[in-house]
Amino acid sequence: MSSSMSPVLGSPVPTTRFGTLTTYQPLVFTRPILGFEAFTQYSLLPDLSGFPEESPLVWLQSLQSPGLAFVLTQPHLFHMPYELDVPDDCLLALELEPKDVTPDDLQVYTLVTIPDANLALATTNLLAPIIIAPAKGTAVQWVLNNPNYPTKALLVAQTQSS
Amino acid sequence: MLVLSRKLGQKIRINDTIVITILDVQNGLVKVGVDAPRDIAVYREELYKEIRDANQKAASPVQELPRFVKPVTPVVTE
Repeated sequence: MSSSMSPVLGSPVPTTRFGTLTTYQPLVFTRPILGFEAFTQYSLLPDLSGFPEESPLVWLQSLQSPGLAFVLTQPHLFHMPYELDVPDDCLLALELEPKDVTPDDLQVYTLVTIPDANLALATTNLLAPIIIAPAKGTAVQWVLNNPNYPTKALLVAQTQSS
Repeated sequence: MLVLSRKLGQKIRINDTIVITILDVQNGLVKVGVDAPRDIAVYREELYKEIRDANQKAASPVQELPRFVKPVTPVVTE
């Protein structure tokens, strides 16, 4: 994680899972998480459930609604082949200059759904990733034009079959 | 809802910036062209709903995740 993502002191934000946040790196969604258009400000927080081992998951905590949070992952951590061409429109939405962008300027996450808190059933949405420009503090949910990427790809099955 | 009848090749303009063109009509399939500024998101309705529903299922899961550590790199057998 680049130094631009290190938390900074902000106004205290109450959350139901992580107590009151006082240092955090705010992310502003310039293209909303569909269905959550009213909530545009979030922060990435580590998942400590596997402590001391590193978790492949991170939390995307709303800074506007204490109970609203999403779980994200990076598909390669589950050995899922995942490549995407980030179009210029997406880079512009992230307030980046397309001709100057390198892959290091972007972080790509996907949303994880965990039915009944059962990790064996966990799926991730490869069709509509969360793309972040850490240095800008901007993020988007971007809908890909790729019929090969489902909205419900099994996470655990992928690790067993790959 | 505003209902407009358009012939092949005719357009609908929304504000100054969005133009919708009827490109083709065949066997109940209508091909529509959308010209819109880059900051306007255009989705097929069913895709929008699928992703919105997936997002709603993903939102606000359990209070604390079950123990979930990075999966072990699978052993590749030659």
